[in-house]
Amino acid sequence: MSTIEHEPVTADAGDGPGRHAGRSPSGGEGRRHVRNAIRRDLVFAGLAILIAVVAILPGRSGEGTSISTMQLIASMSAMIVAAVGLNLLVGYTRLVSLGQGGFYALGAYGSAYLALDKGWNPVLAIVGALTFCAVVGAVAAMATMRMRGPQFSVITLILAVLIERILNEGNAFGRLAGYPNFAQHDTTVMKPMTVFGVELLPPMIAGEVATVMVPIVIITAIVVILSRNIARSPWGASLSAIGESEMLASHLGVDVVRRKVAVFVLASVLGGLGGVIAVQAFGHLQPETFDIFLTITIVLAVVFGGSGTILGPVVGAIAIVWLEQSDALNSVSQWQQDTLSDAWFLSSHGLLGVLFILTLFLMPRGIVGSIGRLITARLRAREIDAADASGGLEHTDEELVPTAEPVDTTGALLALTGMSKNFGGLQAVAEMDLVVAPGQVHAIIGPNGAGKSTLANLVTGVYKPSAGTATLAGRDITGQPPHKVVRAGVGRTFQTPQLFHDATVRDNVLAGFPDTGRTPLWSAALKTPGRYRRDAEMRVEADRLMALVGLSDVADLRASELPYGKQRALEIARALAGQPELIVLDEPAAGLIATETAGLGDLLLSLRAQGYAMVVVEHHMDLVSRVADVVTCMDQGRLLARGTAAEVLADERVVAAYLGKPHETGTEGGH
Amino acid sequence: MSLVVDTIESGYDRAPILTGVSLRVDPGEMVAVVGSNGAGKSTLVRTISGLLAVRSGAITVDDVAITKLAPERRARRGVVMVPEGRKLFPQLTVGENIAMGRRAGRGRTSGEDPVDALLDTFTILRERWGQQASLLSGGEQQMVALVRAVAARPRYLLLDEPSLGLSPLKTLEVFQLIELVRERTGAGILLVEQMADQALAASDRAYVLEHGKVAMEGDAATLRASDEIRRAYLGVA
Amino acid sequence: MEPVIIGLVLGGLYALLAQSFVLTFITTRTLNFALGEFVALGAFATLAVASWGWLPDVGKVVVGVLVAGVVGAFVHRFLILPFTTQGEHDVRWLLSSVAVSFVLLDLITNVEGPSPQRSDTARVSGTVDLFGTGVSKQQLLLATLAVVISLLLILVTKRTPMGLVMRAVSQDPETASLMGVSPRRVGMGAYAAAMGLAGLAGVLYAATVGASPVMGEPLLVASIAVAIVGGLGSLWGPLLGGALYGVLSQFASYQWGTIWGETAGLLLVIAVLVWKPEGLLGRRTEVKL
Repeated sequence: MSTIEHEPVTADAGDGPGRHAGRSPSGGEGRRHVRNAIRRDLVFAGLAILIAVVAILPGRSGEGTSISTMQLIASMSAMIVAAVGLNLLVGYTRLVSLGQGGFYALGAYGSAYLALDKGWNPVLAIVGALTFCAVVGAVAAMATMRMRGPQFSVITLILAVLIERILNEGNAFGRLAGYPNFAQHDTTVMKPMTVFGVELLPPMIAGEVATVMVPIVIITAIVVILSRNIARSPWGASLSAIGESEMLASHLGVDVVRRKVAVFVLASVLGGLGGVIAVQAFGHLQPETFDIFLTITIVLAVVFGGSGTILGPVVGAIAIVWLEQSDALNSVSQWQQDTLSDAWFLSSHGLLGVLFILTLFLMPRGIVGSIGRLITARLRAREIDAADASGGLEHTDEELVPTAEPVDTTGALLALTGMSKNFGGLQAVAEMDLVVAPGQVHAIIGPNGAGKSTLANLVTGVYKPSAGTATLAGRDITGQPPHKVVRAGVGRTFQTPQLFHDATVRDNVLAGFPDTGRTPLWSAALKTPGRYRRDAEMRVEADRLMALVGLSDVADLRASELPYGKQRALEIARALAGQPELIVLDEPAAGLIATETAGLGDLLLSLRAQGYAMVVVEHHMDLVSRVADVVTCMDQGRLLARGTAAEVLADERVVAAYLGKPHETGTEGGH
Repeated sequence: MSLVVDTIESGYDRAPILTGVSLRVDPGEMVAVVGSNGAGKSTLVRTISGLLAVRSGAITVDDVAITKLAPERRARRGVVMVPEGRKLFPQLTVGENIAMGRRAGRGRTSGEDPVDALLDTFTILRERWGQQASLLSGGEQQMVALVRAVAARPRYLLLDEPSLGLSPLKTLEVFQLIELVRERTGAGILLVEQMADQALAASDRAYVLEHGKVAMEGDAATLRASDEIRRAYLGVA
Repeated sequence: MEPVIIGLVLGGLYALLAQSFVLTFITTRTLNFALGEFVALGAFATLAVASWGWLPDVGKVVVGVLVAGVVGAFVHRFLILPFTTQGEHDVRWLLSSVAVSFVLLDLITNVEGPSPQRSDTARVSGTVDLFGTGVSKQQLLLATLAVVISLLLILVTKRTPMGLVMRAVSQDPETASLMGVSPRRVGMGAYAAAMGLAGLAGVLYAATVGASPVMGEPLLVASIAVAIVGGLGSLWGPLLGGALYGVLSQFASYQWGTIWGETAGLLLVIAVLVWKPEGLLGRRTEVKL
């Protein structure tokens, strides 16, 4: 897999601000989190394996009557694996791929072709085919890197159609005769593979036990278990972050390009694995079974079951395969012909289409998603009543910990030199210098269009500067992409809060930890003991951060249910989770009323007391004069004035270009 | 003859945000709605303009019920909204944006065109006439949004957070423009504003929204002077 | 020269259908993946009235266009529009239009049977000589129509108040509704026009290959590819995309065989998208924070 990252999960030397608190998986609470998590995971894994084994019990004697059941189970397994893979793309990353059927076909034909025509060891052939899927997936991911929405869907559909055409028309694959076929291979059925001396027989011959069913269901169960681990890990959170907004994800320290390639590759390999299972169970391939309909059916399975849920694709795949293979749809079709019309009726494909539309209307979250919503809605109805959701941003200073070490303000934490940015002919920022000392609050004010936000975006790497350099604690960060700037110790909040609206407040904060960008895929999937400890540690620390910004009582509400002021506080808590030394706040008081702005001021002052340095882009002069050590006023991309708040706000040029009238400082809360 | 909102309930998904709000705007008067975040201010204007459905209660314009009308039909009856964040059509020019506003005003074009008067005062918009709207600064965008709404010949104008994200100077200018709009069009203006102090200073009457209900109402100057308001919304201890 | 001429003419059919994708995209930000079935629908509707002697051929073609257009408007109103309410990430409409494609295809197959039926309406037989290449008049008609209709659409959107409304709705339907415009009606109108176009293409295409339920399927992928190459946001796009796609795929199949024709066309799409995700003539929209 391509996202092996070697950096340690926890941050290095704890010399920065905020890095001293909540580090140890503190005592009882942490251990309780670990114990609960292990118990839940074991129960899930046990149940998954148990269901898998029970499913194939009817075939243990190899009776002829069990063959069709075993074939049904095998089809379901293939569909489950492919759908689980697709769910990572569609459900979490919100990239609606219509190409999964193509990878399914590649896995099926590839493994068969390598084993039969190339004479590879069957296990190697499978590995080879899956590797090929991974490569095609990686190339497709890179080709579609800048696309979203319908464009992405169309290109993946085109990919699936291309693959289908090639398999359909390629002479090596026997075309309509199928693969294998008499003309080329003297047989129409693949030879069963042998692993460790055990022959894995497909469910085809009465009287023989279909041994291949054992690895099929076990592998399926393992895929489901591992995908659950991934979905619930920081790695999974990074996928949701990309699905929400790639800009946001990169500001959580996620290398969006690599992560998108990784998830596409993972989905492709699972798609291919589905195809491999189909070959092993049925021993023969027909090109027409890999048409557009297959690729859409996999999407249907995900959406019908519940995209973005762990069990959704499993339930959906089982339901769809059962519908397709049982007589249910045929009998509905027959009923229509009997009672309605001989000509105007729908058969199975049309009925699946109707089912698809009904799902979208009635259960947009799918079976699992809708049931889940019902249950949580009941549970949470009381909590919403309990928590006063209408309040704003009110800071509580109970948690205000005075800084342990005196802040060293001599060296520059952030230094911008000669920063310039042109958009086409427009010079948004021109030769700006800016120095922020550790623990210092630096406010940037100026008229709309003066380049303040552009400057903030230059700091966090959203834009590459046209000229100039940026250093953070002496390290050059000029032109680095956001995830690298964030990893170097810069946190960020946005003009309009960028949150995971459907996730809880706690999960939003958890997504802010560096783990979201740094957890390697293997560790997310296998869930090592270290992962359990770290998860517990993060929960404890998240609780502390929520208390710090006054969100403890709404920790389990969804972010979208918070009033605007608390959404701002949540964004700050999430930024703090990334253990930054510098926080860039882009108009944090926009949309806040005066009392909330005052609360925000308290919070920023307490953060400064804890040693965080800040760059605050702001229009509210009350807030600026209260929190800022240094104020920079920009106009038309250039420096207009710099100094203390009092100096800058009294500057004639600032009044003329920006304030319109002198700012009343010191009077009772003027505006 | 006025815009009357009678005990309406509305909101998103399941949870209602407004629980029985009543208010009235008369032609030519400026009415402010202030309140903390989450009190339902934006929900209120979105409900009056028709972007959100009313669950119960009624909205009438000059004694004609508009409660069930789609937003476009309310606009054609002269209930015009300037949405939060200006919402100009980004790839249309300034002129085309204003032309879009005129569509809602078709059929109610008697009298002199108030747009010309505004453009004569704020000449910068004439200079920008052929420019793509997305290239304007925030202050200019807010001006275009206001002029676009005036082009729709409003009888009642709903302004959602006109000062949001604007510098102090631009905020002053925008409030001047709003005052000019009131003079020129004679429309009743409902002003939802985060900057409670400025909003109250500019208005004749005001409503204070709390938890989806009207907590206080009355003369804007009186409210602005009341201790309770000063403590809760103006940030004065 | 021959593959170029043939390719350009063939590209006309794709361009006509691509125009239908562009039309719905610039007004509603949606694409109808059931387009192929609307091609068949138009063809079969015309076929159904083919025996009405009193109706001139033009009238029969109009019937095909109208049926496809009206069904298209309803599909938008009831099966596309309800699934576009969750912002720009919302792609439920895409899934629902795929589902519509399944239902229509199945229904047409059950009613009309799977095999192609001869359709004589709007058939123009014979060939013309174009720079030394024999081109079927039927295909030339399609290509000419594609150009004429594209130019008309461009004229309408650039020069008329209706065009201004269309552009406004495409950029922000909610705000357009505040300007007294009904985005729902604009969307239904765009779908009616777009699916009418698909029906027209179906009638003309059926005259050469016969009417069958699956006749639109191979056209779907090609025309969506053409629309994307040109840029989904540009009405000029289909003409450029159609020409490129047609010539390239013709050239490739002359050189290396039929299967490479389509493959080359689809590879062109991938290449263009990697280079310019918004398409050759599409406009890039900046993401603002």
